Amino acid sequence: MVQVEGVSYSYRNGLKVVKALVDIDFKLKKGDTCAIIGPSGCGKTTLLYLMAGLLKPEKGRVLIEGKVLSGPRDGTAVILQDYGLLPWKTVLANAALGLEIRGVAWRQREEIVRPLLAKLGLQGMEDRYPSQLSGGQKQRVAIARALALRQDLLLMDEPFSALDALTREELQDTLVKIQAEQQLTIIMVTHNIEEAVYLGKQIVVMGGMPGRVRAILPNPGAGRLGYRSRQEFHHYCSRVRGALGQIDYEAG
Amino acid sequence: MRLVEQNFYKNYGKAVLFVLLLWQVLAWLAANPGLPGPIPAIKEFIGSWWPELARHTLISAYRVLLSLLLSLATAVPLGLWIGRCSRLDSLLGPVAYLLYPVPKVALLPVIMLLLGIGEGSKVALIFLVIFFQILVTTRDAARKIPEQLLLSVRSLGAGSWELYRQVIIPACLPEIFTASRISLGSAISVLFLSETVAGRSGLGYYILDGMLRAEYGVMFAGILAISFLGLILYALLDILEIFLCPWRYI
Ligand SMILES: Nc1ncnc2c1ncn2[C@@H]1O[C@H](COP(=O)(O)OP(=O)(O)OP(=O)(O)O)[C@@H](O)[C@H]1O
Ligand SMILES: [Mg+2]
Repeated sequence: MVQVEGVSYSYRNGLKVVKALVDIDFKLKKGDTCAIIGPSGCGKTTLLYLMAGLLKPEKGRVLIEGKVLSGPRDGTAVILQDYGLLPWKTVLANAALGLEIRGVAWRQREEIVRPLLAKLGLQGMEDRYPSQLSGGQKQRVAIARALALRQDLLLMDEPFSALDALTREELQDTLVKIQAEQQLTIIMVTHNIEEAVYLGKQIVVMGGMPGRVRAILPNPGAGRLGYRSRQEFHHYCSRVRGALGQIDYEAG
Repeated sequence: MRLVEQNFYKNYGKAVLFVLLLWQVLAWLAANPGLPGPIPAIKEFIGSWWPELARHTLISAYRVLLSLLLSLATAVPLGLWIGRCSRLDSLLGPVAYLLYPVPKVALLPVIMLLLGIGEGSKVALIFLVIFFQILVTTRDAARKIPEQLLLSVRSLGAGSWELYRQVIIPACLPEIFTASRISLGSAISVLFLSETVAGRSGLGYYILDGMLRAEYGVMFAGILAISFLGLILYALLDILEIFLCPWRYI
């Protein structure tokens, strides 16, 4: 479904060139989940933008469903860390934005979005503005907006990092349920080892500056409710922690 | 009536009362026929309102509104465009900075030579003054839109027109309103000046004419009219903003 082949990327501001990613390679099957984890500044967000078609690789290519990506793709939903929602639109209008941009009529947009919002626990909040929501509720609206388009690939950049532990686990469970229901392919960037292990059937550990892939760990138990309290879960957490620690060791 | 609107009327009422009181105190202190109190001025205002004063007020209102609309219609799209395109900004930004501080009022004689002493030159002068105010404010607002907001809407498949419609224009609207308020003040002062220099219509002419004939009541009736004109235009802007930017009033 997603193939990242030898992708490198540099930012250019005038004459200054910042190398952000070098030779990134990994693959993900349809319906699988993948967590990308690594220290700050290693290029995780950049990699997500490349897979979203918001940036173009300097070298290498990104293929989705066998097609080379050249811009934002219709079937891909993206949830960015903070600025996903438009402050001037109500919850309902925000969740329906993707549909509106695709020219779906108002009546139909409501028919699609209202049940989705209700399912995500946002019933009765349809007419509020984002500033009237809690952090967790905002993320739910962002998820509703992504799901409204019935897309098959969901890319998320640290979606739950600003939330308290309780809300975060609640939303992780919501995501697990949705993923199982709709066979979504999910790629999520995270700083949080437990989150990576709970959600990513495949864990891509990145490191360095510019960023490279340091390890790809399979994690077959991920994506099941209740995985958190299993023995395996802790075992995989230590493995990821180990892989991340090695990076520190190499860098130091 | 919603709370926002209730407060709105209450606040305007209080403001009017406060200014009238201040005026009365000043008139007592000055004790000079050149500064009559609010009561004789209001009497004169009511007496001469129809049709003479009303005609001048409407003409002035027409000039201010026309030039404000013209500047908004040109400076806002240009400002949004320059603000979102750094190459254009590096080209046109310095040009705007060069022209912005030129005292446009000093150009009035030139404008009158070119456009005559009719409507054209008055509207053109106001336009020149407020165009740059609106342009620079709008551009700065467009520049500081968070990149992530644009990216996330682009990822939903938005092309550049949709980006303007869904993100850039609404993000800049509050600042465009601020610019309009500042420009309205400038517009009224410049209008007054241009009306006293040439022509026989508008509140500037009316006030100056009252002064020259030493009819201070008439003069103050004109001043009342011009401040009410300003008040009404500001109130209209406020109402329009509540209507167009509802997310800011919650
Ligand atoms: N617009 C930009 N211009 C220049 N350099 C940039 C830009 N955006 C990011 N970078 C640089 O590219 C590198 C990778 O940035 P990126 O945001 O992808 O890291 P990240 O892994 O997402 O970090 P974090 O975990 O802190 O979000 C960093 O060194 C950063 O300084
Ligand atoms: Mg990041």
